[in-house]
Amino acid sequence: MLKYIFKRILSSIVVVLGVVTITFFIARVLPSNPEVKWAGQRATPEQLEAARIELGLDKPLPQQYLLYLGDLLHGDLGKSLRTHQPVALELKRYIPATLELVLLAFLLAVVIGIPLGIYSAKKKDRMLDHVSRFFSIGAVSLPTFWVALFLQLIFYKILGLLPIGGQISVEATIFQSVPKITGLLLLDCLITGKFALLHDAFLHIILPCITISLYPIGLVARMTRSALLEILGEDYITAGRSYGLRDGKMLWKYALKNSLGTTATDVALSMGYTLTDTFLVEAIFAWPGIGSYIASAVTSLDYPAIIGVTLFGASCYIILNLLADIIIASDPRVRL
Amino acid sequence: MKKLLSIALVLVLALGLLAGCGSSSGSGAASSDSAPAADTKILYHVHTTTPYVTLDPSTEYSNGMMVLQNVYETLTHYNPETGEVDPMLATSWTANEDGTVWVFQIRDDVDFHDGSHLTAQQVVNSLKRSMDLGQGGAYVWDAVLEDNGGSIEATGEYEVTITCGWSTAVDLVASAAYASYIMSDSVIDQDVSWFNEGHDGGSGPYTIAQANGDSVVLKAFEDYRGGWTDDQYKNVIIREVAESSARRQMLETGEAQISSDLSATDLEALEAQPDKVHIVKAETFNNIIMFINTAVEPGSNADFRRALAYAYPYDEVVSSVLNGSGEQSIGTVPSGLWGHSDDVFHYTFDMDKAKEYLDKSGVDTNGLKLTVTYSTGDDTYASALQLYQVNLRQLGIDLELKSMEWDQQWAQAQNTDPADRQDLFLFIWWPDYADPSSWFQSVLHSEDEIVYNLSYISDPQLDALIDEAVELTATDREGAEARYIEAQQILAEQAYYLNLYDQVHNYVVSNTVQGVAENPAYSYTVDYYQVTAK
Repeated sequence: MLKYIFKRILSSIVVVLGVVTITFFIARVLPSNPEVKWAGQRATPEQLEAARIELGLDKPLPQQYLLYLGDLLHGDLGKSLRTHQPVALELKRYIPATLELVLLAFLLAVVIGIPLGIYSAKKKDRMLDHVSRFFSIGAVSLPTFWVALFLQLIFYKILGLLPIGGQISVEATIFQSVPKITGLLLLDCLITGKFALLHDAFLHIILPCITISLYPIGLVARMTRSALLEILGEDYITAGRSYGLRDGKMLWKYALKNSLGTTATDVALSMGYTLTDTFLVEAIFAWPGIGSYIASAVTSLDYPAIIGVTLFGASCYIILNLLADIIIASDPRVRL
Repeated sequence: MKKLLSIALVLVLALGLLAGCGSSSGSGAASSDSAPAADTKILYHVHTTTPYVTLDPSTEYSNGMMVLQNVYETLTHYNPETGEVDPMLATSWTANEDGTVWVFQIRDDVDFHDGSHLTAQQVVNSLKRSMDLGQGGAYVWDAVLEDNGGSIEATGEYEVTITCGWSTAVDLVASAAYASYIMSDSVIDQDVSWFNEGHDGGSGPYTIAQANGDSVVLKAFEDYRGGWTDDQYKNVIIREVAESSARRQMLETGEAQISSDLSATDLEALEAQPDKVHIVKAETFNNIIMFINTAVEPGSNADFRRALAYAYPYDEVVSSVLNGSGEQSIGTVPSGLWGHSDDVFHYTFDMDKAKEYLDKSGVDTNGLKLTVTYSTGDDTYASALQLYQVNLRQLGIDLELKSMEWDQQWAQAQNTDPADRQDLFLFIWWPDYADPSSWFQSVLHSEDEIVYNLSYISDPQLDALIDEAVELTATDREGAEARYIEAQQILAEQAYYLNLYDQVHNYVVSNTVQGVAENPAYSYTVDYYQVTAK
């Protein structure tokens, strides 16, 4: 098992290196003038020359690539051409907000999606199953931006119950400082006992979280249902029932346990999808996460920032894949 | 035990949700843990972009002006009503006859936010910092660089002498929105990261309390020499809300008080709610021009260029595309800035004249295709160009619209082979301080190496007029103005490029506040100190 994990980690490193290489060269062969982005739209020729030297653009591309890799080993992702700030520092600033949103959405997906899938399977072809399937299909199919705008209209404009966007009311932060311990605002407020801020942050996360979690909820519910139905049709379940074991026990103890491998893989991968899906939702809800950062980076071809975010996204996918593989591998029926 | 814990957790969460929904008024404001400060009035400005790229007063060359102008001060400040610069940190100034040596008297009653006192030496250190870093708008101080024969020194406790390598209107330069801020000595050695963490070293009415990337919180500098009244706002939030519809909703619910750059639909909807909001129109010094590639045929043909100029639908674009966010340009210098004249010749839409000049030019339009480039993501540009495309088709010219990033457009316009450059290039320009020389020196004067003269104008008569005007700015403003007007007449007659429109910013302002205005020399900047509650 350890050997398997070690091998998977090694291959993951190769994948990361591939991602860095491809992104670096694609970003650099696109028609773009990094020195103009660095020195500004109205830079003088002297400022442009100084920028070329500062960014190392006077060196051949392969050398620039090797220098970039060298810096990367030291955790240096270069400086953003737009903001002149270290990309690593900026990612550190924006990632926690995104992570908080995704983790909570992920939690909702598990807490709502799995029970929904179970009950749907249990009550197959009955009213509850139909309702659950209708909801799941709707959740997976509805365009995220539409859901976001719809929720804003209902809960902000019409009902006036929830804020339209942002992570916290800036008004609330004027009179008291925002705790910064883990970077996850809800957790930090909870740790420091700042309940007024916690309450405010909680209100802010509701709408974006619902928007983001709809897709994984639907996906997890559908996957759980189909995996469970398949297992419920197995002979050993029929055998168990014929021995007189209670339906509940059969479902929760024998069937569900065996279907969780598939569900876990789906949940892990849907989290990766959720992470990229959140970028659009962040823009609509003015959520101060990595979404608006990557949007600005892409539209301005800020290649150090693009590579930084791509690396982050790819790493998340790889780690989640790795986790899914380990979960599957821990099933004794799977031969490594 | 586990069950109990789970039930407790679910209960806590459910109670939190219920409590949250019940008490929120839609503003999302939380009640405070601690007792709020004495003045809790908040002015909330939602903007389409982030309010800054950096907060370094020496190097920021972007939106950050909307923050920095409220936090830092300059020696002089442009007054749009008089068209002159007023004293700010300087009380008075004198210049020698040829405008190369300037002596500024500095106020003796200015304190910085860190408590230190302003002296002439801090003015010198601040401006030297901008010049040494040499980024952003620092080039406005080029005449003062030692390499160019200039110098800056404190010649008294409250007196600064600035020597320039050539005649320069330093009173205007000192009012620039970039690279001219005066800061406390304590921040001179700090780098951009320090400033971006929300620190500042200014002497303006506000200090930076928080900088969060997408938002900035300003708090009143209680010891500001102008003092504070009860109806002023001591807390200001400037926050990015990219979606126009979201900004509109925030104005409608009263959560935000100021916004601009709303979509035509949202602006129209808000205009229809005079009980809640009012519109403040702000003329700007930003204008849109369309370069013509005059280095190759057919752009090198003056009559062909005139045909292009007559075919542009100026009125239609202003009325149906800009919806109040622009006025047709008359000349190159925008209305309101010295050097502007309503008498300068300007083109109007006239297809008959366009056809007449096209015939006169002798250009064969059979299969003629022109390419125009414009900035990615700007719907206004695209809509205006589509109207132009229809008109040119009537002349037998096929116009191809290409949306590109600025640096890609610029690189193409600088291509060593003129035939590979775009035929037309939509371009926005604004001055770094209230001086028309920004257009004439950078965009219209002939260049050895192509930088911004992207119509590739090379006209000795024009160059001579521009050089004289720049030279006279410091010593004979009227003489300089007359030359700029004459130059604009030549430029229009030759139609080297098309003057399309001057931008107008539409601010939507809550009826609960008054005093919102934008100074055209400081684009997108609202002087929050002048804003009061009704």
